Amino acid sequence: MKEEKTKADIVVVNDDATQLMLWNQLLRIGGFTVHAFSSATAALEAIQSKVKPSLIVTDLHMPGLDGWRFCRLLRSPDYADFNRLPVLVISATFAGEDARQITAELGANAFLSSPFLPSELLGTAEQLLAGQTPALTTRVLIVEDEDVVSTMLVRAFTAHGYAASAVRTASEALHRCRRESQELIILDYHLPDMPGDLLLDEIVRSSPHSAVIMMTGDPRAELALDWMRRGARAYVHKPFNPEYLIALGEKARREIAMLHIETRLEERTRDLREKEERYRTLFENVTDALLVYSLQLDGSLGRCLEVNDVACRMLGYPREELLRLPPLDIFVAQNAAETAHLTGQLLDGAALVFERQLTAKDGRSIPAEIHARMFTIEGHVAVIALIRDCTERHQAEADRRRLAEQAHQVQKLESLGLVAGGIAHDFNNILLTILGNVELALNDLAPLAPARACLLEVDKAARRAAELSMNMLIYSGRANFAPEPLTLEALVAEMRVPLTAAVPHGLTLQVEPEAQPPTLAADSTLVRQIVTNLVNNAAEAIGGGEGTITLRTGQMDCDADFLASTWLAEPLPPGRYAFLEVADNGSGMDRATLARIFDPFFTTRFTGRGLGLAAVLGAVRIHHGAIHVTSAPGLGTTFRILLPIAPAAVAAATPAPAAVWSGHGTVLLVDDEDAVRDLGQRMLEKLGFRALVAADGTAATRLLQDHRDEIAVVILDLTMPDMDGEEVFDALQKIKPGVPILMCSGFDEQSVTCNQAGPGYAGFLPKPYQQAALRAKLRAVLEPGAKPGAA
Amino acid sequence: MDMSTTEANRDADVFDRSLLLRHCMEDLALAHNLLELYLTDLTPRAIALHAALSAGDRAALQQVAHAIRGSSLTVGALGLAALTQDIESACRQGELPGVAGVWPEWERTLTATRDAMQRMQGEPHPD
Repeated sequence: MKEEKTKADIVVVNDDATQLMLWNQLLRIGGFTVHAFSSATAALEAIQSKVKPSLIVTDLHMPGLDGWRFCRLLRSPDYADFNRLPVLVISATFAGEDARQITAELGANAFLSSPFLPSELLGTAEQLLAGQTPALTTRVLIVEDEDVVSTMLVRAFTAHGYAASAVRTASEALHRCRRESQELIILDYHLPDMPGDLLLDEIVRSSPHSAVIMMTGDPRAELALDWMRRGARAYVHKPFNPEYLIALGEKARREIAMLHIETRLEERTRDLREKEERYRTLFENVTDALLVYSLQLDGSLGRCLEVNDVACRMLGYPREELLRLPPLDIFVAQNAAETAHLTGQLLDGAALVFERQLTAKDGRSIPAEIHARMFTIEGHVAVIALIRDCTERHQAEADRRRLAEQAHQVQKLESLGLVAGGIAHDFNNILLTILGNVELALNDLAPLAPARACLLEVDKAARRAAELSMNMLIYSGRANFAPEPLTLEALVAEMRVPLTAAVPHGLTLQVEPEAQPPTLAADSTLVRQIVTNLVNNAAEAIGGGEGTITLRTGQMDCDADFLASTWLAEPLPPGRYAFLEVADNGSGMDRATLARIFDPFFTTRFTGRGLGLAAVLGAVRIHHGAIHVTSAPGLGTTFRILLPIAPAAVAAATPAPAAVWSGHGTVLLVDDEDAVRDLGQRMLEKLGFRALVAADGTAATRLLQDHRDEIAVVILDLTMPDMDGEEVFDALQKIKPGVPILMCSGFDEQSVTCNQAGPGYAGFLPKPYQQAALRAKLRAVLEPGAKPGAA
Repeated sequence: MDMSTTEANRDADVFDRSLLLRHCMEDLALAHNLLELYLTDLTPRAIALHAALSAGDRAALQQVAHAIRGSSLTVGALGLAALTQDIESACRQGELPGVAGVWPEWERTLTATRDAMQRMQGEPHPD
């Protein structure tokens, strides 16, 4: 068994638990009272208060206060009580000459390379406690050509435990210094092969860790000053007491060691500070939030170790509060299996990226993208999380989706427009034939003829078909648009009677006009279509029961927020707009229905055709207006159409009442449709004209050549099989330059006039046309001074 | 418990139990206590080593390798001590060992070391 005795108190310091236990146990077995600490900071606190050690045994590499700094503090004036306390340094990093150097630099008394045998630890401890310096003898070199002096000094230093040796020349001295480092060099100024000051320069340059003391018999003070400037630590005048020189040497060595350790500490401190500043700068200047958490052995998150300013701002917490918060919910997985999965990935070194909704201090929900990975900090495992606020990104994605949807809608509109235009073209030719022939037949029939009622039914059905065709054209944006000064109040007043008659029995139509209506530049036909379609829609929404449809006109100031809540074709500037409102107290709509009401052919009703509201949207779009809709199930629906108010310069013009007009002269009618051609010919003859007809461009040019002087006007269909309208137009103008040509088409005027704006173009006649429209156009061409509408 | 010759040979490659006992002045109870402490610390240190290797963090890698080497030398875990010595030396020379180059061998040695130590712990001792 071990001897039960208590020799002395020893403090041992090591952050590694295994080594600390071993040192502790071995020293206890050796009979010492051991105080074990896992950090130098804790050891320092203890020796200043309760523990009074006779020896300190410490590791070098430790987190926080490391062995270098610990020894430096023990040898500093701040810890004067411990300046002479023996210190044993143990490290696995250094051995041999390095260990000697480190020990000297640290001001320590002994060094052990780890691992060591127990006897080495106990033996070294015993020696240090007995006031001896084991193993690490200090080398001193005497450079002196006088044997008496050198012999005396070697004896004196040896007697004090130094490993002393002597050389006679400068070259021998340099050779010896190169072979083994010398802690102390006693250098005579007068040497046979080189002046002592030059040798001093060389030693200071090549052996900066050696302390050099100069000796001389020369009494000149300037010499001594010069040596000190060159790097000597001290000087002595011969003759001198060797004990004095030995004392000087010890002082010089301590100074050198202190200087060296000071430099090393400064370097380490500077490195640490620079590194810390560099990382702090990075940490605080990234644009994302950063949070660092410790990671427990069980894979759970520990306390928050660090946060940057961005994190504080993003989550709305002061820094100290955020550091105290338990791990944020962002890292809390749904269940234990997911936690284990996430932790496993982190421990495998994976960088995790996932999204979570974070909750800020004020309760805001923040969509965030989180990048997390594990790293080590001072030997501890931690998790760093970079958190990016995705609010803007999500908004941008929503905007992108909206734009893509808009682009898709535009594309759909264009496709529908092409189809609708094509259908309307052929459809209108047929309708023109039907309506025209009905009109002619009614004119020829006796007022009480039995067939009259049938013809009126045909006329009614054809007009409904024409309305459908028009809705298609309006929705597709290819309807004829002829803006004129008008007021909504006048237009609604004009429509009041027919609308009231048209709404089903049981419904009441209330009209609330504006007292001082603003003037708009609008197409009256299209606006009528808007009103008609909205009232029809309202009547259908109310269904078969009783109800009220309210039609209001007025003007209102619209700000950007209000305009943003409307159905728009384009962004409109805030300002004053005229409005037309149609409200019903019908069934109302839910949000899903509301989102689709303007889609063509979308209908919730059995009888609907799904084109009415689509046409309203098209008409409003043509007018650069907007639609605001409010609706909820059971609460009815209100459509408010916003239309731009015309500039003040646009004067309202009241159309003059129509008068019966008949013409004379010859008109050339060019159309490839037999029915249209035949009908047109008869209409022209009814109006008093002589009609020449051609089925294609070739026939038309021939007729114009043959009747050049007679033909006053040409009515030319735009779309024909052999030559299109443009080619025929040019050909006719070559034959009779300036001859007025009315272009005729089922398409809108813009489609036609783009290439025929030059001389000869006399206007546009949309299909299907009736006699009144034909008369008005021909009168406008032949009597340019006549008032508009006075056909 | 008897140990087969194969196991003994394999153990000797990674764990020098006689060195541990010499360090403990042949005190078997102390040796067992040291092994327990060493093995407890070894798991988080291995995690930290892997993390540093994965992250390519040279400073952290050198730090954790040094810590493992110190305690491994103390308990006679010469296999792990040698591997961490290689890592430390490479880091000191400015190199950065990767997971693929280090971890497979390290993991094998870790398992063998743990097995060998646990075998020793399983043996009867004076306490």
